[in-house]
Amino acid sequence: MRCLKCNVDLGDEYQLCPLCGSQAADDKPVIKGMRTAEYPDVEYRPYPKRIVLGFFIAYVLACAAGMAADYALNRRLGISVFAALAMPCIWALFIRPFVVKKEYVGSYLVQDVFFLAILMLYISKVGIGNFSSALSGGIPILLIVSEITLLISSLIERYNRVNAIIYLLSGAVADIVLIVIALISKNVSLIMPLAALGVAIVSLSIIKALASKEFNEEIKARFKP
Amino acid sequence: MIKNFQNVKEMNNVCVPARFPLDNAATIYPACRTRNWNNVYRFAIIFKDEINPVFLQQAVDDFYSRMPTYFVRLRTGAFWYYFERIRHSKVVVQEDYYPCRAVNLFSSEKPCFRVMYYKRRLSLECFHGVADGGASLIFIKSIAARYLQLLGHDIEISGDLLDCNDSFSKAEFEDSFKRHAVKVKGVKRKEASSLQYDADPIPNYYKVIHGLIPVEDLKAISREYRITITEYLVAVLLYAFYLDAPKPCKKPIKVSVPISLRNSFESSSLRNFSLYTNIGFDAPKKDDYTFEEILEEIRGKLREGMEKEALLKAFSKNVGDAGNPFVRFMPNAIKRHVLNFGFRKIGQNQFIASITNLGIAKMPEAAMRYIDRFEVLLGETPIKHIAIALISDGKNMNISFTSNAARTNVQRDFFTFLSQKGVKVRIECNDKESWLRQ
Repeated sequence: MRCLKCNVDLGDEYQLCPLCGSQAADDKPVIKGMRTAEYPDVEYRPYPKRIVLGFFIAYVLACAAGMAADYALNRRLGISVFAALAMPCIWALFIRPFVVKKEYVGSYLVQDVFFLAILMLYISKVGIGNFSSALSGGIPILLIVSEITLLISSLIERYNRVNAIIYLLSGAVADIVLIVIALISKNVSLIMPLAALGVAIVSLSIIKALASKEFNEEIKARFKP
Repeated sequence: MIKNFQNVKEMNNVCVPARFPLDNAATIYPACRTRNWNNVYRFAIIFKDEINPVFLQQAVDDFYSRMPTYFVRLRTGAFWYYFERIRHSKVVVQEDYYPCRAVNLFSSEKPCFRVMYYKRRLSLECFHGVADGGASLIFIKSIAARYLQLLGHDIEISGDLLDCNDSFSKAEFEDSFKRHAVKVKGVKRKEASSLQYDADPIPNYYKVIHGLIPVEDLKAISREYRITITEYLVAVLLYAFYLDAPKPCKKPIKVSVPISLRNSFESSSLRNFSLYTNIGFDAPKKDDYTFEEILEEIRGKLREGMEKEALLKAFSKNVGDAGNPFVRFMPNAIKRHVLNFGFRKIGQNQFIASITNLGIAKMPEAAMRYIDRFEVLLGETPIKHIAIALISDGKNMNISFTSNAARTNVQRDFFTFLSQKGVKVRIECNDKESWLRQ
């Protein structure tokens, strides 16, 4: 086949010229002995970005409308805020784990802890009147559970160690923040934040004892400029 | 049987450590990536027969220890990105979508490249941070040679082909920029911005138009003007962009030409060792340019840009900037956005498109009996919606236009200009139905 308008050869499979779109003529090609190297037939898939973005905007607008209605009717923010916070938790705890691979377990744990911590803070504020129960109980327990999970995953799978080191270090920093908050506000107990910090340090020590070189190299690679 | 590395200690036993920094040219690529895009290019070899995926996988497997800098994933450090070697995994997949789609850089299971097959085409798609085109061309040719050996053909490993039984050397791992860089002062990067290609990009779409041209035809026509084939094709491309540009043209039109530094500086590195030079003409200077006038404007500019002294100054400046303590110790979270801003607002504005010539892809005569031709594709960027890559097997030059837009004005002007000059052109496209859908 040939395009007479562009004066170029085309493969036998072409109905239209890819350059100008005109009908291909059934002429003999000028360059002899060429075979078309086929590409797969592709079904065009646009990025799912717009759909996700649409859902996110719809969710934010729905939450905002709920809060506004709640405040207008009751002069307080109650169930709508809870619903707004619960949505990411449901997503993080019940939906995302089924669509992620095990290699991301650490990063999802961190995100789950973050969402759940915010939810706990909100519930404690609404239910008890201050954040003390979440800061002295719920959040440190959550951190302890995630730290133990990270330790177990790194003991089972060698390759998870490198991520576990970083996430455990992040957990230790979060524990220290909790301890500082507990020290500043006198009505928050220190026991559980200290226990969480202890678990983080013990977990890091176990990994360091088992894989000292990996531990040192991971820290060096992450923080060496 | 592939020997998997079980721990860092075993990985470090060969000359490539388990984790290593990116080379000087690669630092920009992770920084400028987006959620759906990273800088990926493709090399392809079209065989005469359909590809056997089992032997192809075996051929790639055989290079796991030989090419450790490819089997890596990207990781984020506090101050910079770095590569981490990964355990062996199956990287050969059947091609099922448009070329050059983003690679998962951070996966612990898959490396920053993929090998694909579809009927007669063997493709290697690689993230540019891992290696440049020169190194990847050697890699894919070596895979092809090994594949043919596994099929039972007697292929001698010669020239720049790599033997999978050899060990990786320190010279292949080196960051050649650092070795050759010297201290320079007063080198400026600032350039006038270029006219930009006006197109409506289609997200996640990638149109490829190949133009196959006999090298003899190109040689004859470039000899007429006493210039090289690359210079001639750069001039034709600039002319095609000029025809497509709104008149009067208010900005210069420049294209970016990547240059392999391996020709000018001694290097066996299988990582990045290339640089770019921008070539063009001052379109607003005159109302109506002819092709010959554009050719005269750019004559010699490419050779000037490829002079050893100019190249040395340019990459020494890059190495010097990267070594600046302020840059080195800037947290990665901030540095990434600074580099991204520079890439989008300064670097990408200086040219309208990239055109790269990989030259002649040489393989042993015994292997060429089973190979039809070579292809190279440059991935588009979020800003540049068209790119051009050239490669030849000695007989035919394969000129590949890649674009994420539907319009084909520049491609049409480029190839019809050549055909009007008496050059024989054969066109192939990955999206034959695109005109039917419009």
